[in-house]
Amino acid sequence: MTGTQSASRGLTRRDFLKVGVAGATGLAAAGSMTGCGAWLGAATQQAADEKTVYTLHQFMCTGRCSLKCTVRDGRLAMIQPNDTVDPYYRHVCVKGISEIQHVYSDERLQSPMRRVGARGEGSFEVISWDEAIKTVGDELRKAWDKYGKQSVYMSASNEPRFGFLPALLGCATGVEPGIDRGTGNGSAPAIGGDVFGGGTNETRDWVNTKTLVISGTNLLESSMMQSNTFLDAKKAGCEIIVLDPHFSTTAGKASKWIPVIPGTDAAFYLGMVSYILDNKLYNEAYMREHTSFPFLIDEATGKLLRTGAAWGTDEETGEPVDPGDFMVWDAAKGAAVPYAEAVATASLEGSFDVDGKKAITVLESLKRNQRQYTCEWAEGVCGASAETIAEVARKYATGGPAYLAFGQGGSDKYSNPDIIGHAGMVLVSLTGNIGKPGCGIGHGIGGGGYSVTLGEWELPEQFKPAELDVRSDRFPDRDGGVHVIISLGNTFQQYWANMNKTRGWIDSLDFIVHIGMYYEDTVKYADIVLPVCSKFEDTVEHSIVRSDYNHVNLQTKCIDPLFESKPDFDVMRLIAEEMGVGEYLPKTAEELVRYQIEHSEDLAEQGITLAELEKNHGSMKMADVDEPRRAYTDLKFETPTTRMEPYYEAWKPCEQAWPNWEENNEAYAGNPLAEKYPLQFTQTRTRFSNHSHFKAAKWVQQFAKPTLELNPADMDSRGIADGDLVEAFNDRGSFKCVARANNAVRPGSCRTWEAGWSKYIEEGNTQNVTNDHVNPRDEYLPTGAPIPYNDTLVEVKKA
Amino acid sequence: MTKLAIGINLDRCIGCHTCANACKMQNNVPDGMLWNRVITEGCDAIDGAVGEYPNLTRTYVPLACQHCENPACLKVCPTGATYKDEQGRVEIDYDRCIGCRMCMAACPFNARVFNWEDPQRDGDFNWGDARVPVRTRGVMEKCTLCKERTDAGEEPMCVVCCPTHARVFGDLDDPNSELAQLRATKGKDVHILLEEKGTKPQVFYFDE
Repeated sequence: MTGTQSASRGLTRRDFLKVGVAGATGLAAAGSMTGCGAWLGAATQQAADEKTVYTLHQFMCTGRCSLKCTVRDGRLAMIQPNDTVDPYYRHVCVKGISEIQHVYSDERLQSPMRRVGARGEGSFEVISWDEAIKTVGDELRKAWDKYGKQSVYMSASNEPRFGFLPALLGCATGVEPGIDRGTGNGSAPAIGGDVFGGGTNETRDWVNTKTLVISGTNLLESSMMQSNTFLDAKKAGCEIIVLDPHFSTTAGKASKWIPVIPGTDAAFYLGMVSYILDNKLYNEAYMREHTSFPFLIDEATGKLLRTGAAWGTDEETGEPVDPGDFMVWDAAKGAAVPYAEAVATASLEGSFDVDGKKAITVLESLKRNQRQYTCEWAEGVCGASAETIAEVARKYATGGPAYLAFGQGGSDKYSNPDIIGHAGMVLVSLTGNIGKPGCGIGHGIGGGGYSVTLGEWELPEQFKPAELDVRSDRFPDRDGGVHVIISLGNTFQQYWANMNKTRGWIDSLDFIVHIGMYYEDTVKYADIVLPVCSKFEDTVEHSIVRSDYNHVNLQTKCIDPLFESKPDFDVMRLIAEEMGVGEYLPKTAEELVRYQIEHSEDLAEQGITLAELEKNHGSMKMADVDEPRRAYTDLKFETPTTRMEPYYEAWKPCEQAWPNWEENNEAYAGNPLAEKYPLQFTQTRTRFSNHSHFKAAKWVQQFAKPTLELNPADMDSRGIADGDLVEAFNDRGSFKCVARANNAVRPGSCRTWEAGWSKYIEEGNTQNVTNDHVNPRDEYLPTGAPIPYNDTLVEVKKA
Repeated sequence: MTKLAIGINLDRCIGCHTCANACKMQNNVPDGMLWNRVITEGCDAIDGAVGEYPNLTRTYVPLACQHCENPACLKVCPTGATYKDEQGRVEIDYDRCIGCRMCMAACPFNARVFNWEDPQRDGDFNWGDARVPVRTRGVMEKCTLCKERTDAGEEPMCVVCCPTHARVFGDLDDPNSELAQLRATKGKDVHILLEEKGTKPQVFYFDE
């Protein structure tokens, strides 16, 4: 062969023997109404009746795969990446392939059903579609008459999608705002950006980044289809630094893993800010020209000084007051002037007398505020050494293009992640690490590439969704006037913490209709259950066109709807027709697809038509996407002054005009509750599901099942062995499942997967223990306070 | 001569198990069996870590038949069912397999799976590539290097589906192939599993 020296890996034969398929998946069946055998018939001989269909996979994971499917004898036989798309974008994942089994799962909802036992008991009888839709209609009308239209709420999870229904029914809705926006809440105001904290540059741009700091996200699992952007960046020489309490998959692939105490990422960032300030590593030219750092603050009030009217809306005109009236100290003139008059000569530091008021610059204010947040202080809070924090700060500020990636699924699920986002924006404002190749901030989920605007099917003006004063996750505590829930997917399991309290609210509801694919937790609370089919099944040829990560992708029917399920569009239309508003919808999903394509200026410009999409196997790359998307390249931001505005004057009353450290609600050092419940509990995101979706896929279950993972040290001290049944509990409730020893888990923590189905653990529900605290800063945050699922303490004992 | 093989870039493997399911799908592998799986090196279960917190390392190692040059399985097969074919692949003639499982015991990589019972497939359907023969109870099976695909000039399904492009397929005897060049140039970054067993695996692993 070759003369190369081959190093043997440190594996023994034992390594290969001990890991196989994770046992038989003999899990409790959903009930007598499920089970595929009778519906699907026995195995057929392989025959020549085989066709290839190019389609797309479900959207919520953000992987947006374009797929090549083999359909044989009316069955999905193979799912591969679409081999006609650019190899860079050609992908499928473990979940996508698992659809070969998952689509035909015993856990599929097969027929419309009506509850016959107590709510939550899970006893149903099969009814016809006509009867089910009529019942839904009767209940909606009853609620409208009794309470008004705003008493109906549509809670939307992964699938299905019912875009038009809230407006048509005049009900409120939300892909619930309590999750995934925690960090974005704090980053958005500085640039007028996305409340989800979407990355300012596409992750393909990370190959140009020299220092990439990732915190609070395990993106090699939760954004798996963009893993190449991470791996390519590392290969190109980017130093990837991951902050995570646990040795996650992403931490394991990074250049450097920095273990931090759960929910303390903001302290790490605040330490970095101080280091950059103390060592003058900031970019003065950028700060002077493109940020509010030279603006003057009235020291007494904390308000920014202005020449004209006070900041806000002019009461007479109803228009915003002039954003040009903010003042800076012109060092050349020795006077306060509007900032546009002293772009190059504004003082960044100092204390000034302006019309008898004592004024300081925004930078001066930050410096004073940061005195309390030294690297040594940060070490005490987050557990990373002061030297490490300083080293990361130095690299971030001086080591070339740098990117702060934060995320969803980790540190954003505490009571106060807005501080992370805000502190991150302070770092960007100080360094100018934005708007340039390899520089940016935000989450990298889904890659954050280019998109097109599709034609929008307009409903007549009278149709508008209701707006409620109370956010849905607060319904168990605060009466939102909602009495009917239209639940799309596993909403109760995913969007509400503290399940025992939630159950009380669920019991108080007049009517619940659950619309979904699988027999997941939310089903058992429903009064009526409507089965929808997967995106592989359809009644029309095309029911979705989607703008997907630098591409336009088209769905194409592979097989007929299984069982008595229907495509989500068809179910939405049935409900609309029942309520007398069906005429405002397209007749079919395909009519909508054609409309969206034919009425899109973007598509017209690029010559993308339905015929072209069909000819191009359901996927077309958009024009001009060779260079990664980069936002704010002109350094004009979507703020009133078009500058970065890291000082949040409006948040002064809640002590967050600057990012100020605040302990988590429950998981913090010194919480007396920790004497009873010493372990922090995390529900982590996993490659094995997309929130609640794919939990029933046996081809995924074969690799791993939900467990409670603990560090072996915490198991030893509790007399727990790997594989033992354990109970995790706190004052809110408990659940039981199998314990698994994993060195990757931080001592003092325990973790399981997010949005698990209770039927796949031994007893109870993981949401029984989770924290539903509402940060009092709620009203200041663009989307309200996040649900602090991971800000939860428990104790674990052998069950 | 031809010596087909796969090289796996361990730096790019993120332990996602897509290759395992790609193989299962393509080859109609029954419930409870896998021809290809991803091991977390040195750990009892997937996604563990070696060492003590926080001094940890983790390496994912995808594992299937190593298509050895000197296969231990072949030597012990009493019927000649296991053979080395002209493409350099280790294959099983299912009709000649008598289910004695000598090969299973001999393989140092535990790469073989046996149909102890009538194969079960959730949904009662033969999924995958119609060209792949259906195996019966009492027959041994394992990675064929996607014989039906590679005979037709296609890449193995695990290579097609790997989302991080960690897998390279090719002919080690073709010095111009990417695979042969990787094998030749990666030097000490090439890893051979259980080299001391002397089976000379053709499948190899490498660092970026």
